[in-house]
Amino acid sequence: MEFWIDIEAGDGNKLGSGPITTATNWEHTPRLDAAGTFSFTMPASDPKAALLQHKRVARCRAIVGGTVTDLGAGIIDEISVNVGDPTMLDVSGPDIMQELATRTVGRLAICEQGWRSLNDPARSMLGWFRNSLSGDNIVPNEDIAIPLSHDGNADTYESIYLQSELDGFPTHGAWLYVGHDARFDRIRLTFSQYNTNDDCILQCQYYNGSGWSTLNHTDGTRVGTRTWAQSGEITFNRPANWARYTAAYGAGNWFWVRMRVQRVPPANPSSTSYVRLNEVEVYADIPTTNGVNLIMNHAPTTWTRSGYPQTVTEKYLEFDGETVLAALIALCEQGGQSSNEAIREHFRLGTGRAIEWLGTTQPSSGLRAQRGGDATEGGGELCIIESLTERRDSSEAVTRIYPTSADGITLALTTRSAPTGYTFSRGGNYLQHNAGAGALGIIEAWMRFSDVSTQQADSRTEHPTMASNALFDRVVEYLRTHGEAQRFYDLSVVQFPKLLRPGETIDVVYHDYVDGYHAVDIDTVALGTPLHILAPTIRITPEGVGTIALEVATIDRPAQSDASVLANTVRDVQRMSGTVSNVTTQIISGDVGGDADTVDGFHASNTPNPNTLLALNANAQWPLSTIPDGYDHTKLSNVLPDQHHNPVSLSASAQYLLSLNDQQIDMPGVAASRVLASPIGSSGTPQFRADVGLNSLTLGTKLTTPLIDSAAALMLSPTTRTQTDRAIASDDYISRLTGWQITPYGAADFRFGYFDELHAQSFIADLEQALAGGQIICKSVAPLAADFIAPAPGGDGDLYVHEFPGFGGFRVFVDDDLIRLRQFYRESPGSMTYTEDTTIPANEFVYHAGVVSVADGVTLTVEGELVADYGNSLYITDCWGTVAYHSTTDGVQRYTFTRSGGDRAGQAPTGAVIKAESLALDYGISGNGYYEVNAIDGPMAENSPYAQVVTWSDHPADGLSLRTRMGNLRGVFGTADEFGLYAGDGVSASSRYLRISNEAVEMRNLPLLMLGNSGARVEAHSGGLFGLDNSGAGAFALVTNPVSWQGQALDAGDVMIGSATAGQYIHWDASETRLTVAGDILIQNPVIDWNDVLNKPAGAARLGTGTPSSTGLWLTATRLGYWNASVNDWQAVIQSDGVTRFGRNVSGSTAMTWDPSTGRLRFFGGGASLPRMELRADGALHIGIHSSDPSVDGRVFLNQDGISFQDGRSAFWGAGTGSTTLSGSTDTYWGDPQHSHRVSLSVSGRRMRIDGVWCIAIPE
Amino acid sequence: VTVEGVWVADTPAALQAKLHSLRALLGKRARLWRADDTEQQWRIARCLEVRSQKEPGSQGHAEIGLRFQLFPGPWNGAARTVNATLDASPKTLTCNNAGNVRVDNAVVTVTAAGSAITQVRVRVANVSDIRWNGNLAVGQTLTLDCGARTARIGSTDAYAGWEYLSGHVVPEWLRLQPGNNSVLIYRTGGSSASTAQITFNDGWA
Repeated sequence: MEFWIDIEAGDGNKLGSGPITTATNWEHTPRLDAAGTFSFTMPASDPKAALLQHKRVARCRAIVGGTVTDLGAGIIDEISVNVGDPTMLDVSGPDIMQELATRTVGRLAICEQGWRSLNDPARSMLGWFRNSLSGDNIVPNEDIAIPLSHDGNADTYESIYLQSELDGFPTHGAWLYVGHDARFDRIRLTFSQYNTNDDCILQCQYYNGSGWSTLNHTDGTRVGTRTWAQSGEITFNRPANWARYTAAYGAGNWFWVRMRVQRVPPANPSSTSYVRLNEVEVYADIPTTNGVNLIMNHAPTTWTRSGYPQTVTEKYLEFDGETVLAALIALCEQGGQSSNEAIREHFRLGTGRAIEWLGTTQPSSGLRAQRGGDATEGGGELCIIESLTERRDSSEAVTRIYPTSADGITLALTTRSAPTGYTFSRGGNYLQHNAGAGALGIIEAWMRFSDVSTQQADSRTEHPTMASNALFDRVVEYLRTHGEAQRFYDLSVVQFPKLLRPGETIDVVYHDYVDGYHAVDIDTVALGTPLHILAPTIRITPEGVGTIALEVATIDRPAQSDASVLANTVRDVQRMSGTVSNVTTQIISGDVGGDADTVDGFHASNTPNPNTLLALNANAQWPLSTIPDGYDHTKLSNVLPDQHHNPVSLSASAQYLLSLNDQQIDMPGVAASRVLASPIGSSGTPQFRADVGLNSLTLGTKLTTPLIDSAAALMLSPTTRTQTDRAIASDDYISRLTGWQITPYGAADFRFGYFDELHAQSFIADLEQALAGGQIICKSVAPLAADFIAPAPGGDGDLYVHEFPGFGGFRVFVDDDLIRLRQFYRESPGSMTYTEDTTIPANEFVYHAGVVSVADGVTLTVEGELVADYGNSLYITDCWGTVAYHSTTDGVQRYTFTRSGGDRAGQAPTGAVIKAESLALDYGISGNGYYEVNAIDGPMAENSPYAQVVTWSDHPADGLSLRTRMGNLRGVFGTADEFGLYAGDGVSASSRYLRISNEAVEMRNLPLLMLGNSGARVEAHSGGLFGLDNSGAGAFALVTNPVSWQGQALDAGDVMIGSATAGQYIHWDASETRLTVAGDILIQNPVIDWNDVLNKPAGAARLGTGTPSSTGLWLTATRLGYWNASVNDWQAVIQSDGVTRFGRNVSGSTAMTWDPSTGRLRFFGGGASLPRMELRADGALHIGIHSSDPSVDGRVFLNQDGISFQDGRSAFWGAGTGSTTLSGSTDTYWGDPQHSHRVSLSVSGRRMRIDGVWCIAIPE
Repeated sequence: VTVEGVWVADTPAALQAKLHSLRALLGKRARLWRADDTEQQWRIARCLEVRSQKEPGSQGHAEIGLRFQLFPGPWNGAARTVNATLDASPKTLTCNNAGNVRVDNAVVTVTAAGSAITQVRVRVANVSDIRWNGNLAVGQTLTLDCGARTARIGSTDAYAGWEYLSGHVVPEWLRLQPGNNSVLIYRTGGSSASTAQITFNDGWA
């Protein structure tokens, strides 16, 4: 039998250049409920021996029954060189199942959640806690019992009022309390009458150990704005600090959730509706039959990790770092009962990297092993035993067990009863195997089963009962397999051409007589109890494949070896050291003493006093299922120094959110365990998850980012399809010209496409260019004079074209011009006949009586005969190349056509025939272009009609550039029904183009110039709008980007009118918010009214009537002046009637007034009523006014007649600096007495004395 | 295979030289040729034993005996090469084994053009159906040596992407029976300019 061996890496990838085909044998011994072994031998001279390296996987395959069959795989652990002729290599190790021993399940709990009724008062409670008003006091109503709402009967109910009975608190209903002995995840409410009030929400709280906290939840009873409007579930995540509590009188000590209906303001106090609550249940932990999948979920990713069958019986286990393989074995050893019989479930290696969970099934192999030469007994196939070894051992026997769990749980709380053949003593806490005790006597053992423990240490009945039941099952299974002495056999058989598998049963008949003594007496046929195959050995050689050895036993468990006993002991010790006993735990919170900074990483605020730390409540600090790094930090003994870190718990409050300032989150350790994730959402998956082990990032809804880049190929692999509501296009896309685009409406525009076949409901061939240049006008065009055979890329061929009519001798092409030839051909039809039983592979298209497409992964088998037609496909391909003139004969010009190389050659296959009279288009040379008119661009011609000019550089196959397009511009800008003109070099932000259309007039990166014939110009671009006069001097500038203009640095927002160089301009400086006028300001009609002046100068204002409100210059309807608000008077004022006053005639001040009605200019001082001096309209100046009568002269006055003095007044004149007082008879003088003179006047005496000498006036 | 005969040389020294060269073959693995009047055929063999015996007085000739271990496979006759451009998928290559026994050591090469080829499938209906998955870049050649059971791109191992499809029912990678054999080459990726070649020798019993 020819077989081969693939050497694989751990990830399953095959290594090397091919399989090992020189192996001389392959042996595989799979085992029941355990990893098996393998070995093979191969020549050392085979170069592929270099592939043999430790921990690589060797997998044997052969053709068995016409199929490539996997005959086993193993992990290379040992390579031995067997020197000889030839030298051989012996390779061996455990089989592939050993990979399950390389992964740990961590602290995996085997359980699930299910609905639990609250009808058992020993495990749960439901209460309705109302408040009543007694006088002015609020009194809790002790009548909390609503038994009909948790009696397990959905037909009975209690009425729950939505309104509080407490006056003044009408907006909230009473609290409904739901209590259970263990933590739970959901509450299911069943109503028969619902809440009909709008604007009601459900308020949920839980007890956190010191008070009630809000419980974030999803309300499944809500309809619109009404909660409790339908039966449904209240779903939430178990709070980490959820604690037991005695919530109300007589309600008991449970894990409580309380809820009430809360009215949303404005409330309606008059509402008195109520609901009928029929039943309340909680979703809490229960044993599970899903243990295999829970465990295999931790297997290496190359293994099948899900989809395994359920176990026959429910399991409740807790692991503490066991490997996946050890956990599976423990699941088997957990046993159980079915139909009052003890059972055990099994597994074995399946196909590839998968286990096969057998459950309790142990199929018969239909085989009987028998000693050669013995008479045949019974039926079935025979297998000849070459040798046999029997081992009987009762040293493992135990007939009575006193068990405890890892955390001290006994059988006291179990609800199990003993199966047939066993005795259970609850008071004595033991189970006994009756048959074993009868045969071997009482053999007691006090055993602690380390893989059984409570999963919520502070549960008092629920989880302890489940642990007790699990302990019961575990003990029964142990007694079943160890209660009696068992027999184990090793059989060597003649290679039997059938592959027996562990878990099957086989009959064995073997008798041996020694001196008449029946030394060996094995006859399972007679006993009717076949033996269990624990480990068959399969051997493959060039001669064939078959079973060569069997390890069988009377019991379906392996014989204990020293190694297995030691391994189990180590495992138990390891678990013991990591187990918290079921003692009351203490939550450490707040500052409970101690002055050390930390204790094993816990903050000082959580540091206990010495010797007072009893235990840390794991559920409160780190839920077991969310231990982030695989180390249980609640158990300090488990944590190595480098594994410590401070526990971090965050609340929903903003002040407790985690903030990292210039720091990163490091997650060292095993990659597969490093995960950053949000809680699991209602969809069953987290909204956010970063998985280091998988190098993956999962977002539940949306990724918003402008760029996704990748150092390697970027792959999109959605479960269904990749969707887009926008076109996908290259950044240089212009319809039918450059780049590519796919729209969500199904339109695609590519520069080149290759199809094995093309199916089209309608087909529009782009033939315009073939119509004598009528649609594409390029440098030249000429029809072929003969068929043209396309040469290979880079090769040559002869091209014959007609001369231009009437231009004999004129060459139609210039040498080195690029020529485009286009091939149109339709594939010749044909057919293929598939005969009966021919297998048509998947994914092949077959034409028959129309089109038959074979779906992905489906294989059609022809029954009868199927004729497959093919052909008729239309191909349109290009052939690009340059030409060189050769000769002209009879009006036919011959050119040597040199085809372009690489992808620029076009897709016309080598040897393709381009028919005579096809058009050869001359695209000229690099830099040339063509003009095209198109009316069919895009699906339904949505991109056309248009006319465009296109140029090319380097090569037209990949170097086209759109220069102008007029007409439909959808293909350029992507806007439907946009018509206009485009001219430019692209459509990106940095491109330069002009767009004039019904969508926009746009000049991208282009200036707008308006020029006169004498030098004046206006220029507009993205920097602003500028004007120059005929002399080139600046006329104006409106600036949008900083610019140097006429020697001035202008910023965005600046405006300048005039010439800065000439010093005559207006400049608005936006950054300085300043207007500079260099020149005069002339304001003509209409005049600027005072009200037109906004933000008037400080202190200047205009008042229509009334009194000014503040000090300053004021212009009123009748006055102009300076108003002093502190004295509430004008300091200076000009009135509308011309009356003018400067200063104020008050004490300590002086004033001058002018009254045009009297013509008097008057001078006042010190508040006197009469002026000290006034100038009258008759031209007289009066000094010393002493009468209010204007006709009375002042004491001295001066007019055209002279100067007059009233009686007693004197006149002085003279020189010098002296002075004298004129009073009484004392003479005083001004100036030098020698040179000054005094005149004393006496009217009555008509005499004048000068210098003391009287002069007498003589009357006429 | 045991070969026995007499070697003759002009001189004892010449004979000795021939015997030395003959003994140098011991333990080597190489082609072992056989010939008749019309054709030469070969197969891989290892020389296990070289015996020689010279009679006293007859220094110019010696009786020799050679024993060879033959490796699996037929005797290889005329070399055949079938070329094709993979302008369709599948592309049928007709391999005419003019011998009288099957051949299982053909060499299949596929060269990518236009773009990378990601899958190559070689199929003979109802006999063999194998597929290679990977990335065969433009200009690279995938060589499937069905005799040595190796898959390489140039000199780089390329077995990682190997798989047997459900239609594969023989232990060899490719089996060419005497007469015409239709070998279908499928490609995924690449252009119609990609090429394939199958080389083999007629198989003789």
